[in-house]
Order: sequence, then C-alpha cells, then structure tokens
Amino acid sequence: MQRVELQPAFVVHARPYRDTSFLVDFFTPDYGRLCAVARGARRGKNSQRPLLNPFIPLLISFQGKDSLQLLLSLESTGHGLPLTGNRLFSGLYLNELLRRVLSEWDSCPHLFEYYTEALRALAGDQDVEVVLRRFERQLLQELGYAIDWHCEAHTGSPLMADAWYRLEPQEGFIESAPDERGRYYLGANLIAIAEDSYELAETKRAAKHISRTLLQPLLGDQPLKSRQLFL
Amino acid sequence: MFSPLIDELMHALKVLPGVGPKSAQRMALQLLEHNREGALRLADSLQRAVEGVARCGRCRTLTEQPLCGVCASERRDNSLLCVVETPADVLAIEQAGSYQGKYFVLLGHLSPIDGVGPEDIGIDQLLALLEAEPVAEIILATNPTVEGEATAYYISERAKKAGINVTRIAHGVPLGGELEYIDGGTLAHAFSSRRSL
Repeated sequence: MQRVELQPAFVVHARPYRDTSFLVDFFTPDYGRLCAVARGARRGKNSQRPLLNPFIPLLISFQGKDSLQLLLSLESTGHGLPLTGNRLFSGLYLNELLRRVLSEWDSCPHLFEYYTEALRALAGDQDVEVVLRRFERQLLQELGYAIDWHCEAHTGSPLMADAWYRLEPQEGFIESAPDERGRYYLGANLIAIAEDSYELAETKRAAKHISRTLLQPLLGDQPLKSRQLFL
Repeated sequence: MFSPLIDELMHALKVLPGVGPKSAQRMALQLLEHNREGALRLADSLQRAVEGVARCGRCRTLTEQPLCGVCASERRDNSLLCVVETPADVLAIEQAGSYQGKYFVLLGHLSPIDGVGPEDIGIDQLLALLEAEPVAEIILATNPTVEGEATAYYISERAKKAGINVTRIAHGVPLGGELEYIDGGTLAHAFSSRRSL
C-alpha cells in the first residue's frame, strides 16, 4: 500500500459516489491523473466540499493499493482561480481534454506546470484562444505527438513564409500547391504559431484547425462536449 | 439464511439511499413481524406513485398532474422565473416561503466530462417557455459549484439574447455563521459582491 503526502493537485472532475461521497479525478505532477474517493464529502457541513471543485490549487494526501485511492486530506494552497463566462467554459474544456487524452498514473510534471500556467492566464486577461492553442500544443508535445514546426517534413528545409503547406498528422507539414480540396496553411502563419505570436486572426484560425486535426486521433469519434458551450 | 421471498424483499429495500444489508434486514423484519398493514400501504402507494408521477409539462418538476401545483396556481407571479437544478431545490425554496414566482427545473447541470450538454438540461424548452410567457426576470438559482456557475452563465447569455432581465442569487456568509470558520472562497465571494447600505 502506498501513501502519498501533500502532493500538489487540481480537481479535474468530481461526481457523486454512493450516498455521501465523491469520486474525484485529480491531476497531479508526480502521479498524473488519478482517481480518489472523498469519503463523506457530500455530508451537510463537510469542510472538504467547497475545495472539491476544479481550478483551486490544492495539496492532497492519499493512499491505496490499486487504481482507486482513498483521499486522506486536502487543503488549498491559495485562492481558487476565479473563471467566469467564456473563460470558465475554456477551463472546463481544458479539463475535458485532460480527462480524455491523459491516461491514469502517467507522471507529467511539465504538463502540470503548463496547466497551472494556462489556468492563471485564463483567470487573468490574456486572449482565451491564445491560451488554449498554446496549451494544446504543449499537451501534444508532452504526450509525444509533437510535429516539427520549423522544417518541411519531406525535405527537412526550413518553412518559408510565402509557401503553402498541408498537414499530415503522422509526418508534419508538407509543401504543396493549394487546390480546392483539403486545407492548406500559409508558411507565415505556421512560423507565427511556432513563435507563439498570434496577432493575426488568420494565424488563430490556422492554429485552431491544426490543433483539432492533431487531437482528432486521440479523441476518437466522440466530440468534446465543452465545445458546444461556446456561444 | 432467509427464505427466498424475504431475501428478495431485503434486496429490493437496498435501492433506497443509505440502506445497506443490515438496515434492509431490520426494515424487512419490522414490516413482516410487526406492521403488515403498513407494509401493504407502502407497497400500494409505491405502486401508484411510480405509475402516476411524471414531469410537469411546464417546469419539469415531479407531479402526477399535467401541470404541477405551482405552475397551475393563479396566485403565483408569472413575470418571475426561478431556474433550479433539481426538484429538491424547488422544495427548499418553497419551504423558505418568500418566493412568489414560478420555477423551471433543469434536472441537472452542464457537465461536459459527464457528457451533459445544453440540450440535456432542457434549454430549448426553457427558451420556448420564455417566448410563450410574459417573463420579465429570470432568477438563476443553480448551485455555486463550477458546473452550476457554468450553467448559470450559459442560460444568462441565451436569455439576454431574448431580451430578458437575468439575475443570480447571492452567495456569501450564512446567517448566524461566524466569519472565522468560513472557507476562503466563500469569503472572497462575499466581499466581491458586497453592497452599500
């Protein structure tokens, strides 16, 4: 039986379990995503309950033998990140993404840092789209699905600003003349995305499309539900 | 240990919330040994309730009539509509006794991870209701959880587009509570939504 003390964590999702408990999905740096039972947390005046919500930085202690852990204690290390409106929906989108593509017990300290940064940026006043695109790229990179954002996939020569490219999810960007079928990206936009500069609306559109294409094989047939929330 | 019929009864009783094997056994023996008349009444009213009770056609709360008591009432204020997550929330507000408007019950909240989207909580029915009735104000009384807030915001955006005034119930320090024991999130909320006297 392993016992883990004071591990930083965020709640990804909590759902009612039995009469008085919650089954909680946590995201931690050293243990990745894990599932723990918060026993008795749904009882009337339980002090854990307000903390079992997403977007609050926590320290958790848990123990267990197999995949399901027992939550021993939790405390918050700071204020919850106040997300409202579209920023709240974006936070839920990040959580749904984590839940769908991250397997349990897969340690990913970098991704935890990126996630924390993304939530802070959402709680601040950064452009929502830029925050989401950046996190999606970091997520793909940490999961080992990164593509080369600097070189053409077949020739290995650097991307050129005035050339057109198509995306092959397994390989990368391939230079080809645009036609009516399929989607083509201007080199300038790809270079801008690689440099994390999203000043043009066109760059944002390209980044969104590329993210969706790359995430598609990881998500399978079921679309992300949180996308429906954006009005 | 028990005969099949008794076993079956104990097993059936375990569908109730909070009832495990021990309580189920106590209940079954109590009914069979000491209160057979009560047991028959229970069986009969269970049967009739399950067959008769459905959703109110207007607000979606539980009722055996086409319209629930609140929706059918002439004395309730038609221009106020309170949106809640569950029928239990309707009961809680009714017991508090200060609200005179009508209700709409979502039967859940938006929760993308659980696969619950806008169409699963009756948004279309709510919007149709807003068009059909002279509602002047929607009061959003979903829970102060992340999902409850997301639901409130989603409905407020849709309702504002329909030109309706939207308000959210206040969250903060409970009456008779002590500041010292209140969690940071609630206190922060209480301060950010303070009002002048």
